[in-house]
Amino acid sequence: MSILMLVPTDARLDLFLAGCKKRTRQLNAWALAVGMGWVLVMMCLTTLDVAGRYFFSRPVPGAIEMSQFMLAVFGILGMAYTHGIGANVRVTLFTGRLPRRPGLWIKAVTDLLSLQMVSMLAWYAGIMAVEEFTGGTTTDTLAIPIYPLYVLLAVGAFLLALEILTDFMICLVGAARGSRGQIFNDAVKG
Amino acid sequence: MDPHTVGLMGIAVLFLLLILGMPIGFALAFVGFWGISFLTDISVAMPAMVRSFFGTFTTYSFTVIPLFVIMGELATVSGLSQGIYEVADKWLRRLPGGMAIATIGACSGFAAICGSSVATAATLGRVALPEMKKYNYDIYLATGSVAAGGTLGFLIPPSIGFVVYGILTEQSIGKLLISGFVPGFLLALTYALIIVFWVMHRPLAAPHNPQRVLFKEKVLSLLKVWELIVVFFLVMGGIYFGFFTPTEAGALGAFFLFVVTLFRKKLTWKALVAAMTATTKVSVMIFIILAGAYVFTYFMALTMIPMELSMWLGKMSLSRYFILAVILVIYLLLGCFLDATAMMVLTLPVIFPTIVELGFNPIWFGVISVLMMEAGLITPPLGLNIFIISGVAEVPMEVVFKGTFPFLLAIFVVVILVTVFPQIALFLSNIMG
Repeated sequence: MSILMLVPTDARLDLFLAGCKKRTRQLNAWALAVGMGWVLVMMCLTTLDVAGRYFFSRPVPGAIEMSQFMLAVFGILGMAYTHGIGANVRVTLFTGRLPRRPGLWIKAVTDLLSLQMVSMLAWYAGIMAVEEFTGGTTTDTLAIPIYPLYVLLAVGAFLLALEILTDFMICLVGAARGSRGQIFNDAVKG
Repeated sequence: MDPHTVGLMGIAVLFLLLILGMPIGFALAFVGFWGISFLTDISVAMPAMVRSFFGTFTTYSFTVIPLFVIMGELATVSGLSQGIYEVADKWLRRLPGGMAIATIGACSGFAAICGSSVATAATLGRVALPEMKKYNYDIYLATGSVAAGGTLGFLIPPSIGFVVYGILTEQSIGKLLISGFVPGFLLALTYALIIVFWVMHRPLAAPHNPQRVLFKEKVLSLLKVWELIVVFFLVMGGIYFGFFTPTEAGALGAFFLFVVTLFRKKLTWKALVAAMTATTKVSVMIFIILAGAYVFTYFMALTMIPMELSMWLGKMSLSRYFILAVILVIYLLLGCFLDATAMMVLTLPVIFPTIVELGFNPIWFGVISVLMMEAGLITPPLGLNIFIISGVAEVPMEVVFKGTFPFLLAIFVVVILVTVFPQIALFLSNIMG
C-alpha cells in the first residue's frame, strides 16, 4: 500500500493517462481501418472462386491461401480495437455490483494477468516469426512466406498489450487515488 | 502433483477469474498456458499458445464466421427487416395475437439470413415494437415476443452457434446448419402457440386487428422480400445440395446482399464502415474466445480429465438420458451467467467426449446445445436479448424478463421433442448431398 501512496496526485497524471488512452485508441482505429475491409475482399474473392469453378471450370488459384491471409489481417488487426471498446465477453455479475474502488482494484488485477499473457504472446510470436523466416516456410500453392503472419500476430498482440497496459495503469491509479474522471469511469466498466 | 489435481485446480482458477470479470478468452488462455507450463514446461506452453492464436486467425474454415456476420449486417443495412415484418404482418395479423406472431414470423425470416440472435432481436425490435405499441399490445407480450423471436437467429441457419459448435467438436458445419432448420421452424411454431394461449387467457394483451388482407395482396407482398428468399435458397440450398461449402455459401450470401444493398441505394460509406466495424467486433470476440479455448483444451487433454470423466460416466449404471438431463440443467444454469459462445467453449471440451461415449449423435447434440444456449439468451440475470430489447423498448429489464418467461417453456418443449424424436433434427442432414 505504501508504494501506492507514492502515486502523484496532481492533475498531470490524469492528463497523461487520458493522453495514453487517446493514443492507443488512435492506434487501434488505424489498425482496424487497415484490417476490416479485408472481409469484403474475402467475400469477393470467394464469390469469384465459386463463379470461376462453376461457370468457367477455372477456380481462382490459391484462393484458400489468400483467404487465410486476409482472415489473419482482418482478425489480428481487430484484436486491440475489439478489446478497447469492451467487446470481449466477460462476466460482470459480481464486479458490476462492487463499489467503485474495489471494482477498479479487481479490474487492475485481471488486466495485469491479461497483460502477462498477451505480452508473452507478442514476444513469442516475434520469435516464431524469426524461426519461420530462417526456416523459409511457405504456403503450398502460392509459395507465400508464412513469417509475415507471425510478424502480424506479434504486432496485433503488441497493440492489444498496449491497450491492456493503458487500462491497467488507469485502473491502478483510479483505485489508489479514488479518482473520478471519465477515463476512470470507462475503465471500471471495462 | 498429479495431472488430475492440477486440472481441477485449473478449472477452479478459471471460474474464479471469470467471476472477477477477466475477459473469457484471456482467462481460458491464461489458465491453459500456466497449466501446460506446470504439467510440462514453459517451453512447451509458449509455442502452444502462439499456435492456438495463429491457427484461429489463419484457418480457412473460420472465414465463415465474419462472412455470416457481415451477411446479417448487410441485411440490416439493406432495410429488408421492414419488408419482412410487413409480409409477416399481412399473413398472420388475423390470428389471436397476430402482430406478436408476425414478429415471430419476421424473426424467423430474418434469422434465415442472419446468424446472430442479438442482431435479429435488435433489428426486428426496432420495427415490431412501435407497431405493437400503436395497437396497444401488452408490453410484456410485445417485448417478450421480440426477445424470444430473436433467439431464432441462433438456431435457424445460417447460425453462428452451429459454426462455433462445429469448429470446437470437429463436426460438419454444413450438416449442423441443415439440422437446425426443422427444429428452428418447430420452435417458431411453438412460440406462436404460446402467444395464442397467452391471448386466449388474456384477450386484452393483444387487441384484435379486424383489417382484412386480400389473398392477392398477401401473395404480392412476398415480392417485397424476394431478396430474402433468394439468399436463403442460395445459402442453405447450396449447402444442402453440396454445391458450396458453408464458407462459400456465406461469401455468396454476403455478396448477394451487398449488391442488393447497393441497388436499394442504402449502402452509404457510413453504413458500410459501421457494418464492417460491427463484423470485426463480433468475429474477433469469437476468435479470441476460440483461441483461448484451444489453449485450455490442450491443457485439459494433458490432465486427461475429459477422457476419464467420459469413461467414468459411460461405465456408470445410470441411464444416459439422466446424464443428458443433468448436462442440460447445467447448461440452463450456466446460461443465466454466460454468453452462448463462451458457454460452448467452456463446456464442450469436457462434455463432448462424454456425449460421444454415451452414444449420442454429435450433430443431434449440437442442436440440443444450441437450443439450450438460446434459453440462456432470455434467462435472468444475463440474458443478452433481454438487454437489447430493454434498450430498444426503453422499459426496465424486469418487464422483458417477465415477458420472455412463457417462451422458455417453448424451448423446453422443443428440447424434449428433439430428444424423444431425434429425427426432427437429423433427417435433413442424413439425406443431404
